[in-house]
Amino acid sequence: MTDSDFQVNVPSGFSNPDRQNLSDEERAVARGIAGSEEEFRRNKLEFLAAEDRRRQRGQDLGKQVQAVLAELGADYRLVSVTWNGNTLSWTLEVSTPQASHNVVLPWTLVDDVLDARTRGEFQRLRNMVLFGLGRRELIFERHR
Amino acid sequence: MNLAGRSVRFRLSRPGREALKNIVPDSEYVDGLVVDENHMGVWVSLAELEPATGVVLFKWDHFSTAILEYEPEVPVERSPAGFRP
Repeated sequence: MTDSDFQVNVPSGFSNPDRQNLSDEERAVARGIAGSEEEFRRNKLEFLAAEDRRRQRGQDLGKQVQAVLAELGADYRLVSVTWNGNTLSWTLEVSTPQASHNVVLPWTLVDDVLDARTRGEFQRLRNMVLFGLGRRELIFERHR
Repeated sequence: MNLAGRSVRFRLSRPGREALKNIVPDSEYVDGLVVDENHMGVWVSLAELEPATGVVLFKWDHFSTAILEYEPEVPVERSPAGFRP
């Protein structure tokens, strides 16, 4: 979490967040599978670093989505950005005047947008967020 | 090119016009927003489709051409990967 006004949730694969000291359970796994505690600790550090990078990506995504929601007015507020490891997608929880909405974005689209950062890619993100919120009229209006 | 999130004009094939005749206006060209694509085809949101969150599947053989605006843009410059000497 950071000081932004929305939550970024990236579930960790480790129940013990301590990066230096392994729990008894982790030591048992290290002895049984990983070969050595040192190797287990090294792999855990790499894994946790990847989770940190994913949290930063979620933070970046949330800021871009907030820019889209600003077009819709103060009644639209981003509540959380959540990574789904099973479906490889991001879920945006958005509070709207009617109800809370979930908008699901595939990781491929999010990576395209955040890596290229071009106007065209940001337009794709905008379209998907507006569609997910049922504001289709804002997507098609410029074609009329 | 991944079409999800892009506004696309589809030129429907003959089988496509037949299959979609009760769903989309009877026209050679149909405009829509692609919200997903998979091995079956593309899932499209249309301005005239209700409800607003509804989508329709255009199978790959339902259209012969997909036309979209594409403006070449330069991605933001990034720091090179690796160590500094």
